[in-house]
Amino acid sequence: MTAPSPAAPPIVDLVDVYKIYQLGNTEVPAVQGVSIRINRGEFATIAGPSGSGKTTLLNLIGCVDTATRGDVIVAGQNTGRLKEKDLTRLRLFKIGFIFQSFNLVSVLTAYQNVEFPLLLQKSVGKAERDRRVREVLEAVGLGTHGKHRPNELSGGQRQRVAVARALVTKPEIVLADEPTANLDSVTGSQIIDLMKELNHRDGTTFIFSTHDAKVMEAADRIVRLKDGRVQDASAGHAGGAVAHA
Amino acid sequence: MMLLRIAFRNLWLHKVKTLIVGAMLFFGTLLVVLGGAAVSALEESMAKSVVNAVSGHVQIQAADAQDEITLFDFDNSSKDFGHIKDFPKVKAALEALPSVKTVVPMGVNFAVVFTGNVLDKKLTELREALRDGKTERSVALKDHIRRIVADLEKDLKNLRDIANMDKVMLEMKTNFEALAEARKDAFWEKLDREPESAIEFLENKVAPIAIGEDLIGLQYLGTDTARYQQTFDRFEIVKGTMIPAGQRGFVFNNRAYEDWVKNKTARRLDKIKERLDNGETIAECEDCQTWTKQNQKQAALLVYQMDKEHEAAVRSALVKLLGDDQKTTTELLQSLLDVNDSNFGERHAFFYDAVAPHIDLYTIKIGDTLVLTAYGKSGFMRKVPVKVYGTFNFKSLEKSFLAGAYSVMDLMTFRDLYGFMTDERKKENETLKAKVQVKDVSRDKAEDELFGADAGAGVESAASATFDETAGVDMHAAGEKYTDEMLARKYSQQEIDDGVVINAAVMLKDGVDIETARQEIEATGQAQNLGIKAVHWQKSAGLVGNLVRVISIVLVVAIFIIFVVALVIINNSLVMATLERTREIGTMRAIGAGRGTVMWMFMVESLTLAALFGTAGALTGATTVLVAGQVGVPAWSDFAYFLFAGPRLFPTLHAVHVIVAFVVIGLVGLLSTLYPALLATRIAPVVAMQKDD
Repeated sequence: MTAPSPAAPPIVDLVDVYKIYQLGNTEVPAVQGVSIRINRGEFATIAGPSGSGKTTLLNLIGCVDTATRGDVIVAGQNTGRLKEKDLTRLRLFKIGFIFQSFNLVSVLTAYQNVEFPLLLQKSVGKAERDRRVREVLEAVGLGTHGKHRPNELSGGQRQRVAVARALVTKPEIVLADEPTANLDSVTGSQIIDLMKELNHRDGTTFIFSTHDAKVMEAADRIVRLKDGRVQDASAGHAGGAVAHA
Repeated sequence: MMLLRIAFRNLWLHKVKTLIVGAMLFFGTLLVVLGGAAVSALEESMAKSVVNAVSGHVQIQAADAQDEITLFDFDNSSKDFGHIKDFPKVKAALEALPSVKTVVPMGVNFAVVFTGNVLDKKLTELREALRDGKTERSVALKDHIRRIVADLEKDLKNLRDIANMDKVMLEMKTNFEALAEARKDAFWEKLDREPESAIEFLENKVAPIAIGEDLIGLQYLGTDTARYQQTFDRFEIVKGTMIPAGQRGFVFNNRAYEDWVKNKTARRLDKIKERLDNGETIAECEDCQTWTKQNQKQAALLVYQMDKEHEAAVRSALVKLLGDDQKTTTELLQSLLDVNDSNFGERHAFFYDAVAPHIDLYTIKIGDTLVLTAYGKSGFMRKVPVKVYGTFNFKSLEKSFLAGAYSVMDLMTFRDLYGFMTDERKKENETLKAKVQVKDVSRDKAEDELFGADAGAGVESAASATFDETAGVDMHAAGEKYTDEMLARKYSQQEIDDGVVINAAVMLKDGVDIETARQEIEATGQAQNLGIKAVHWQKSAGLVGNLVRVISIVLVVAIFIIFVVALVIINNSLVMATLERTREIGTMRAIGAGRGTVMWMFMVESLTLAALFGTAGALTGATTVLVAGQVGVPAWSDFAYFLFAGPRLFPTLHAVHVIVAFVVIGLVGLLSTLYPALLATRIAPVVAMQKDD
């Protein structure tokens, strides 16, 4: 594991971020004045009960949603000031996503699903693409399942494909929204173990949300949310993260 | 490419939808290719038949004419096509052009022919028999006429019983008196003594009561017949011969001849036969049943035509066929004409073998001289006799009533009927008229003088008989007599050309562009001050020319509707697909796919669909056209026969149609995808995060 250097800027820096949804005439605050810093190489979890704002926070970090107020700085870029095109590029090159329901493209094979973001990047040659797809599939233990379609794979295998897809572009951050919620506990912990292993191996930052206490144990650091506010941003077993608030 | 792969996969996954949309695109393209080929083929065949039958490539007419020439139209009688001032000069000037092959002078007009009823005819025959002293024949005819008169009385009494009204009675009173007179033996004794006055009595008082008189309307084309025949290869003689070169004469359009001149009963049998030959059955053909009923109703008219001997011959044959000797001949004929699917063949053959030889199958026979009555340009009714030489068809146009409506005559007869006079001629006549009793010194007249008015059998211009009542002052026709010699005279080319010509057909050399040539002709006309304008055949063909246009419009509308429906359906199904695939699209967006990529994904899908089925449709269409071009599409009806200009249509494949088909289908694909693709691009990446439940 690469220890975070105190001098290096944080990979994610949230400063007094608010996200307020407009439901008719009522304003529903999902995130209220959150400030968190996550350093490179961290294996962090955002925990909290349903409706505490976990997913909203991940969406803001993942640049698929914009804050109502406050700064969201991801990989050195203030996302609030970026145009949509640049946000798309940021997602494509710097961020990997793992979804609760896997979200694989059903008509493509495991291999093609993993290859998809590389094709979007357009800059990776065919041979390099093939090498990376194979490598990452190997890494998630699906080296022989490339030709299978999602509906021919088990839930755990599908999530492995999703992990491979998130990692194939060598992103700086991988965001995972309740990655184990649709899996049984054994498979779930296998996925977490896999993520942790990759975190150790490549130093990729992982941020995932969960309300599963067992999963939380794996995290270096736990950010606890309640009603859209950070309750406790204490370090996990590994420690080292700093919360402004 | 990945997008292509996704497109294929999606199309494959939604097989039913793909097939439905695909089928529409397939048939749309097929229709474009087939329809396009069909319309061009129709245009070509139509051009071939119209151009080579009547119109030529370009029609010319007087520049100052009120109406533009329309050769095929429902009503030309009220139109004024003007006349070409100096035809020989026009002909010389135009034939000097390198693009022009021939110029054929023409004129179209309408005339009627009165054909007397049976009684009229028999009375004429009787008069001739008496004059020629053929006693045996005149006795037979007298007997026949007496029978007709007796039948007439019977019919009239029946009619009186049915229509028992005072007013009708009053009208019929003179008829009854005349019939009663003609029924007396004393009348017939008188006929032997003073045949002429008795025959006149019958002609004037009795014959009008008899039914069956016919008025035949004929559209005709007056032309330089020899040139016409050489130039128009669609023209072919069916019966008899062509009018001898340079002579006066008339050839019937075969269709008109069959329809109007042939005995109605025989014609109806022919028509039933035609339908049966086309694969119909009497049981299912309403027209055939109507015709059969009419034939039975009018069986008596056949008997009217027969004298005793003929009737006896027909009767014995009928008795032999039907095995019933109790019935009258009329009743036997009614039984004979009561045809059905099982006996038609036999009855039809029997009619032509045993009945037709004893009746007048055609009221005007080839070789007869008929008197045409037409309203000429001067507004007066003119009657001109002309010899019938034969009948003709326009090859491939024969089945169309509209296009086959023209009969053909020589220009001399045409001019006599048309009665147009130049200013000079008018003045001349005025002078003549002023001098009183000075005879018309026209060439024709001179001939009369030369040969003597009564020299021939005296085909007397009916004008001489009726002129006083109708016109009275037209010097040119008044008192003019047409003799056999005149009817057989050979006119020189100069005589034929130098006179009134209303319009002319210009036949171009092979491979010349018609429109270019038309403009060239018009320019020549202006440069040489010929006072002519040139009209493209398609325009001059009137209704017929428009037909192809109408068909192509119908086709375009049909294709348009198909594609609009396809567009709506594709659009709808893609909107549905967009909604179904919201999560997937959101995921792609989250992973880093731009709006453009999403847009393309949809476009590629539609274009793939369009390309696949469009190619299949175009290939099928092209193959069909190629095969059809070899084998030919058979004409399934008279109308199709006319459209196809023959029994088969041979379409040719044009690259243009295939290209158009692809462009159209590509457009449909793009247009139908635009909206759903836009919808898809608006899907926010955040939806990827939505939870399953």
